[in-house]
Amino acid sequence: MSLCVLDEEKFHLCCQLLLQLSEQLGDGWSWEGGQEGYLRKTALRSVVIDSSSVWDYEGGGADTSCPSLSEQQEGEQEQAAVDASADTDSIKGDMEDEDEDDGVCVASAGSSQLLQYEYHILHSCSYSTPVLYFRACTQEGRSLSLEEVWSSVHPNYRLRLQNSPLNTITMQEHPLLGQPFFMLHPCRTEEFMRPVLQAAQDQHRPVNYVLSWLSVVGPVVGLDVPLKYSTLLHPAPPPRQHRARLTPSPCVCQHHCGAPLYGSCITNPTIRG
Amino acid sequence: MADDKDVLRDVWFGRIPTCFLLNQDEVTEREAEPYYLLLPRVSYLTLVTDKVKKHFHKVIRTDDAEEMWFEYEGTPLKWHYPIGVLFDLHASNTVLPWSITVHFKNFPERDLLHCPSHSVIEAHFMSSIKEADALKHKSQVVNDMQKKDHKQLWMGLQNDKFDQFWAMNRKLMEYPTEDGGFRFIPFRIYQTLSDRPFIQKQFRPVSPEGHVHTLGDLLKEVYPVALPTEGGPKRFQVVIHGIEPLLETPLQWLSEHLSHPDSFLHICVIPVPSD
Amino acid sequence: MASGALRGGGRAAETRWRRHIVGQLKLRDRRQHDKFQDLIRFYTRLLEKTSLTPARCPSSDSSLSALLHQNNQLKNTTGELAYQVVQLQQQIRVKDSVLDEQHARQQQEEPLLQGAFDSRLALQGRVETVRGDMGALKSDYDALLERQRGAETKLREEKLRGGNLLQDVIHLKQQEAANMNTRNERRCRAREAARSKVTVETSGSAPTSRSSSPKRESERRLFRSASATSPRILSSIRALFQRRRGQSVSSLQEDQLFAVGVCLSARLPVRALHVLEAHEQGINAVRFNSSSELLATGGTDRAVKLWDVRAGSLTHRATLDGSTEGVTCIEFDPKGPRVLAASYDKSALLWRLDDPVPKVTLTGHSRKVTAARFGLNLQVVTGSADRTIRLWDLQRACCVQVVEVPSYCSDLVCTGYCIISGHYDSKIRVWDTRAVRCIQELPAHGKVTSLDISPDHRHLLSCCRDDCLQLIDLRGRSYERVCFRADGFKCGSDSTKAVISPDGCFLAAGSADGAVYIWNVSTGNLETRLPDKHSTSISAVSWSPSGEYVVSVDLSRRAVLWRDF
Repeated sequence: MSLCVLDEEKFHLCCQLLLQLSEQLGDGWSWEGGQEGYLRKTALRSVVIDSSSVWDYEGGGADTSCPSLSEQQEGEQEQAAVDASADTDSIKGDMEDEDEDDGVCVASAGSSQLLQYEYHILHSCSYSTPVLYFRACTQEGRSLSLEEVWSSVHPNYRLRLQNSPLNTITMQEHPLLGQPFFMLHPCRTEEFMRPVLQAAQDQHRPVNYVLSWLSVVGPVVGLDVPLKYSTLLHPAPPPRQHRARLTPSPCVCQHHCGAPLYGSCITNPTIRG
Repeated sequence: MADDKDVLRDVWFGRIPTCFLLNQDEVTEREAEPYYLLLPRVSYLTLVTDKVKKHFHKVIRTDDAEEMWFEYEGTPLKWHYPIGVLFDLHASNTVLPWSITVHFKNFPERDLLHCPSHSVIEAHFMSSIKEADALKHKSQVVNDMQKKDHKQLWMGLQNDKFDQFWAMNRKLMEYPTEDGGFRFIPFRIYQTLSDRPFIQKQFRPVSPEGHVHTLGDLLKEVYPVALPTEGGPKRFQVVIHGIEPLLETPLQWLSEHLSHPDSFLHICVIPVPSD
Repeated sequence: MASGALRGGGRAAETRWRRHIVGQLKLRDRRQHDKFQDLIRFYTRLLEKTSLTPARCPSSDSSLSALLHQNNQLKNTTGELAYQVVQLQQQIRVKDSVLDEQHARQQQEEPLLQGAFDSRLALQGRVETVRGDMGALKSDYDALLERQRGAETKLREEKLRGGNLLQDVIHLKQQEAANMNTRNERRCRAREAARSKVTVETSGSAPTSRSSSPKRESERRLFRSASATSPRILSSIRALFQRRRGQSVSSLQEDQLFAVGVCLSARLPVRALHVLEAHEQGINAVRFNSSSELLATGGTDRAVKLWDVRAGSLTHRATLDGSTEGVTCIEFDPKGPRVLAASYDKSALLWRLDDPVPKVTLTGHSRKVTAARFGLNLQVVTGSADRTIRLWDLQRACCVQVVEVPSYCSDLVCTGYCIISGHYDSKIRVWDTRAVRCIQELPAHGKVTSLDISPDHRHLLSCCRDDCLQLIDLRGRSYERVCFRADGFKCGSDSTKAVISPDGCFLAAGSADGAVYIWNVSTGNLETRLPDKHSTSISAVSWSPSGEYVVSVDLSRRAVLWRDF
C-alpha cells in the first residue's frame, strides 16, 4: 500500500520536520551528507554489558547469573522459534511476555560502562523505509562487538528480536560511509507501521513517518525519543480517542517487537489494555 | 534460449585464480608457502577460504591467530562483497593469479565486518536476497517461500550446486508479463573514485511509455560519470562478472541473467587501464 | 525461468548484445579459469603431499628449499606453459588460415573436376557409339567369313572333283598307253616274223655280242616310227653300222684316259622282263653299276635297294639305309664297290656295297642334294638346290670347295676336270675343277631336269622340262645342239632322268604317260616307245653299260626291266 511507502522525497520532508523538532528540543539530530544524506546523532549512554555472558545466535545463552531466567528464556526461545517458523501471531506470546514481565531480573555480573553511541537514520530505497544504523564504542575508542551490543539490548526486546534472527540487529556496511555499523533490519518495518499509518489516515491526522518509526525502533537500541516530539507535533489530543496512548505497553503487533509504544496509537485488536 | 542457460552457467561457474600469500609480518614457525585456489566469482571470501585458513594455521602460532582477514595492495577486502566484484573492482586488469595477502592480526575494525561463522554469511546473503526481492516484487515472492526454500538457496550457494540453487531462484526471477519486468531493478554500482561504497537507487526496467531501459540508460540516470562524453574517449570500463556488456543490453535481461546469487546486479566502474 | 520477453531494438540488435555477452563470458573463462585450473589442482595436491610429511620439516631445511625451488620451477613452468599456449594458439591460427586456403583451392578445383566428369561422360557416349559400329562391322565380317568358308568348301570340293577327274584322265591315258604297248608288241612280233627272211651283214671287228645285236638294232630301228617302210629300213641299218664304227673308235684324248668300259652295243629294249614293286614309295633314281650286274634304286622311302640282275629278273640283294629323307640320285663308283646317293636330307651318302650303314655322310648343303657324282681322285661332286656345287674329299669326308652357282642345280656330270651342271634357269654350265670357275654357259630349252654324258664324254644329254631332249656335242667349239621331241612325250617332273645308251646311239627317257621313249640319235626320230608297263609317270631310266637292259622306274614304286627279247 502506498501508504506505507516512504519515498525519498517524503523521507527528506520527515527528516526536515524532525530536525526542526530536534532543534527545538535540543535533541542533537543533524543532517549529514547533502542531497543523499542521513540524520545523525551521537549520545552517551550508560550500559550494563554482560561481558561474561556467552551469548550467541544459535541457542540460548548460558546466563549463569540468572539461571531461571535463562531457562525460561531457553524454553521460551524454543517455543518462540517454533512460533516464528509458523509465522503467525500468537496470544501465547503475550502470555510469555506477561511471565517475563513478572520474572524480570536483570541481575548481571557485568559492569556498567559509559559508551558512546552514534545513530544514523538512512533511507532504504529497497524497502522504502527508514533504516537505523548505529555504532558504539567505549571511551577508549574500542568498538563494541555484536555480542556486547546484544547484551545491551533490553531483554524485553532481546527475546523478540531473537525469534527471527534475520530481522534483528546485524552488523552491516554503512551504505554511504562504507564502515561497519549495526543495523536494525527494516524488512518488518512496513508491518508495524501500517496500522499506525492506517489509523492516522482514518483519523485524518498527519503523521511523521520517520518520527513514528523512530519511536518504535529507537528504544530497542537505546535511542531515546522523548515524548515531547509528539506533543509538539500533536498538541493535546483528546484522551478518549487513544486508549493506550501513554502506556508504555509493549507493542504486540505482528512484529512481536515488544517495543513500548509512544505517541501513535494502535488499532490492533489484540492489544491488551 | 540455450544461450541464456549457458550464460547462467558461465556466471555461476566463473572462477578467479588466486594466490594467497601470508603477510610477511606474521610470525611463522617456518616459511609459509602460498596457497593457490580457484575462487568462485559468485561466492564470498570467508565462505570458501577454510582451506586457506587451515593451510596457514599450519605455519603460524595458532594460539596467536585471530580472525583471518584479506587485503589486496593495502586495501582490506570486504568479505560481504562477492569475490567477483572485489576482483573486478580492485584487480581487474592485473596479471593473474590474483595475489591476496592473508592476515591474522590487526583486524581493521573500522573497515571490515567480522565474520565469526558461516551463519553470518548466510544471514547476510539472505538479507541481500530479501532486499532484492523487495525491490523486484515488493517482497511478495520471498515471503511466499518457505524457510526450507530459503535454506535451499543458501545451501545451493554454499555447496556450489547450480541446479539446486536455480530450482528456487527461478521463482525470484519471474514477473507478471503485463509488467514487462520487475518493479525495480536491484543493482549496485561500485566505483573506486570516492569513498562511497556503492550507488543504489530505484530504477524501473521499463519506462511508463513502454520503452525498454538498457544498461546505458541506467548509467545515464544514476551514474553518468561512467559514460564517455560526446566524442570523447572511453574513460571507464563498466564491468559485470568480469565482462563488459554492451550498453544497449536490456536491463531486465541483465538482472535476470547476470545477477549474482544474491539477486543483485553488481556493476563495477573502473578506470580504463592506461597501457 | 522466465526468459526475457523484450523485443525492443529488433532481432539483430538483441542477438548482438546477447552474443557479445556469451562470447565475453567464454573469453573470460578461458583467460581466468581454464588456464589455471590444472595448475592449481596439481599445486594443491603437491601441497597436500608435502603436508603429509610434517615430521621431516624441521629437520630438513634443504628439502624445504628444494620444495621452494620446486615451487619456483612450477611458477616458471606456468609461465612457460602460458607462453606455449600462446604459441600453440598462433599455430592454430596459421593452420586455420592454411585450411581456409585449402578450402578455397578446393572450391576452385571443383568446377574443373566437374568439367572433367562431363567430358568423360561425353567420351563414354562416344565409346558406346563406336562399340555399336564395331559390333555392326563384326557382324558384317562374320557374314563375310561365313561366305568365304562356304566358298572355300566349295573350292575344296571342286578341287577334289578336279583331282578325281584328273585321276580318271590319267587312268584313261594309262589304259591308252597299255593299249599302245600291246599294239606295238604285236607289230614287233609281226616284224620279227618279217625279218626272219632278211639277212644282215655284220662287221668282224665288232664284239661277239654284236652278232646278235644287229638283228636287235634293226628291230629297234624298226620301232623308230609307227610306220616302218622297207627301203628306209635298209638305209637306216647301214647308217647304223656306219655310225657304230665311228663310235667304236674313239680318239679323244680324254676318252683314252678313261676306261671306256663296258662294251657298247646297245640293244633296243622290247619286252618287259620283270615288273615289280620295288619300293614302298615312289622311286626317284635308278642306276646300273659298271658291270651291269647290280642295279640300285632309290626313292622316297629313303632306302637304296640293290638288286641282282640275273636271268632276266631283279633279285633284291641288299637295302642301304642311312638317308633320313628321299633319295634323289644314285651313282656307283666306277673304281670300286661303293655307291653314292644324293638325298633330300641335304646330304650325300656313301656306302660300301656290303654295308647297309653309310660309310661317309657328306653334309653341308643347306637344301636337298639333287645330284652326287664321283669325281677325280676320290672326290665327290654334289649339286644342290641351295645353288651351290660342292667338291668333297672322301678321305677326309669334308668339303673342299664350294662353288656358287646362280641357279638351282638339278643335275650334274663329271668329265675329268670339268663339271657340267644343269640348272633351272635353263642353262647348262661347264666348270673347271682346277680353276673352279665357269668356263661355258650353254642355253637349254627349258628347265634342265637331268643331264647324262655319253661314255666317250663327247655328247651331253639334257632333259628339259619343256618336253625336249637336247644332245650337245662337247667336242669342238660350236657346241652343236640337237633337239629331240616326240608326240606324247611329256617330261613328268622337274627331276625326270633321261639317259644316253652306252653306245651313244640311242636316247631313252621316261614320259609322264608311263611309256619309255627311245630316240635314235643319228636320225633324230623316235625309235620306239614302250608303254603299258607303268601306270604313272616315269621318273628315271637307266641303260645297263652292257647295253642289254633298260630299267625304268616310276613314282608308283614300279620298276620295270626291259630287254630286247
